[in-house]
Amino acid sequence: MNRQSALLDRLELSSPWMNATGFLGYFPPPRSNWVRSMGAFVTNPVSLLPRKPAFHRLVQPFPGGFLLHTGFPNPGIHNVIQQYAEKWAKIPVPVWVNVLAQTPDELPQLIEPLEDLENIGSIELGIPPGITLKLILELIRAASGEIPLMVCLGVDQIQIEWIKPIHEAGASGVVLSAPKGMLKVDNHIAGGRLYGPTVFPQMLKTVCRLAQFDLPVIAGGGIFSEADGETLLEAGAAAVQLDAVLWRNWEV
Amino acid sequence: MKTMNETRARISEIFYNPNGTGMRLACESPLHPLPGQYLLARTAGMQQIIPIPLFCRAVEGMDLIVAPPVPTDWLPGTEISLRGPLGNGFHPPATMRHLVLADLSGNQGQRLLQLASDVVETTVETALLSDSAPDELPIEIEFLPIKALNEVLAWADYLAVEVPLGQLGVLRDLAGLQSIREFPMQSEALVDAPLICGGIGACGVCSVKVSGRWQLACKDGPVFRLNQLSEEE
Repeated sequence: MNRQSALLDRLELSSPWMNATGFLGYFPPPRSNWVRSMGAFVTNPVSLLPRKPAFHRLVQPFPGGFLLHTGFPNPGIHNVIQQYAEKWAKIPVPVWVNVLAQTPDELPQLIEPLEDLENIGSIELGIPPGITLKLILELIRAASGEIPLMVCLGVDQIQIEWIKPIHEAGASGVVLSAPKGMLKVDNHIAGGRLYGPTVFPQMLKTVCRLAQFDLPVIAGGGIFSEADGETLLEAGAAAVQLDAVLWRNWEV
Repeated sequence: MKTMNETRARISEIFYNPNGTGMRLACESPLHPLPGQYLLARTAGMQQIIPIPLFCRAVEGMDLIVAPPVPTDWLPGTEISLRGPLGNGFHPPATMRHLVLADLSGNQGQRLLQLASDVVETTVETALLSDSAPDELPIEIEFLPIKALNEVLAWADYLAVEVPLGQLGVLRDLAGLQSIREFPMQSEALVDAPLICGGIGACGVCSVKVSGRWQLACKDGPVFRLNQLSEEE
C-alpha cells in the first residue's frame, strides 16, 4: 500500500477529492453526479447558535482570485440538524460537519448532538484566526469525542511547530483552508478570505513542509484544475478540497 | 458527465455605453428568464474566477439582450456557458395598467426594462425613474428623474425597483414614506447583491433579511416583496 492509499484509509475516504466548507451548502446540489466520486461531503460552517451575516459582507475580485467576507452566517446546530440529519444519512459518502466555536465551552454542546447521527464521518473544527496554540489545543481537546476530528486552519495561519502538539491533542488530521487577506474596496480596507488560483503556490509550499509529519494534511484552497489537485496529492496531501472551482464547473 | 442546466451561447454584439457595456447573446437553445431572474455566465478562460450574473433587458427569439454591466474583456465571438435562469423574478399583476420602474443602483433601470418590453405593445403605461436615461429607451416609456418617485406613487399600480443592499432607507426617503412597508401599491424589489454561486454554495454573502428571517438573494431572490424587506439588519 502506498502512502497516499494509507492516508486515505486512515481518514476512511474512498477518494481524495472533496469540497471545501462554504462552497456547497449543507447538502449537495440536486442532480449532483460529482458527489458520488467525492471522498466526503463537507458542510458549510455551523455554530452553536444562529449567526448573522457580516454587516460589511462582500465579494471583491482581483487578478487571480477574489476576496470573500461573509461572517459565516448559519442557522445554528439545532436547526441544521433538524433540517439535514435525515438527508445526510442518505448521502452515498460520509458527511464532514464543519463547526465554528469561539470558546472550548461551546464545543460539547455543538458536537454531542452530532454523535447520535448516521453517516457523520468527521468533525472539521474551524479555528478562528489570530488565536494562540494554547487555545487551539483547548479547542481540540474540547471537541474530541467519538467522531474523528480534523482541525481546519488557514494556510497562512498554521505553523510547523504546531503539528506535533495538534496531533498529540487528538486531531486526526489538518485541513489547510483559504488564507486571510485585505483589499482596498470603495476607499476602505476590507478583510476576508482569499480564493482563486493565486492561492495555489502558498498551498503547495505548505503541503510540502507538512508532508514530513505523520498527521494527514488536506489541502483546501487554490485548486482550479485536476492537475493542481494531483500536484498537491503527489506533494503529500492526503486529500484535496475544491472551493470556488465548484461554482465555475457546473458538473457538480 | 451531464452538466447542470447549462446552455452555450456566443456574444454576437457588444453595446458600448459610458454607463456600462451590454451585449446580445445568441443562445444554442431558447432561454426564457422572467424579468428579474438571472443567469450565471462563465468563459473557458480564467479572466473571471467567479461566474458573472447576467440580467436580460429583452428576450428576442433565441437571443438575449443583456443589460450592463458585462466584463469589458468580453468581445463579439466569445463563447459563453450559461446556467439558469436562476432565482425568483418579478410577478406583476395581470391587471396592471400603470407600471413604475425605479432604479437606485446606478444601472439606468436596464435590469428592469424586460418588464417593460413584455408590456410595451399593450395598454400598460410605463415610467422609468433613474439617475440617467438608458440608450434606446422605447418612446412608449416615460423617463423621469429618480427624485420624482414620490410624485408617481399615486399613479402607479405596480412598482418594480432595483435597490442595493443597505439602501432601503434611501428608497423610503425618496418615496416620502415613514417605512417601506407603506408603499400603496404592489411593489417588488430586485436587491442588488453579489450573486456568485447560483444558490449551490449558500455562502451568505448575498444575505437579505426578509420578514425577519435571513434569506439568500441568489436562491430566494433576487426579487422580493418590497414590504417584506427589513430596513435594518
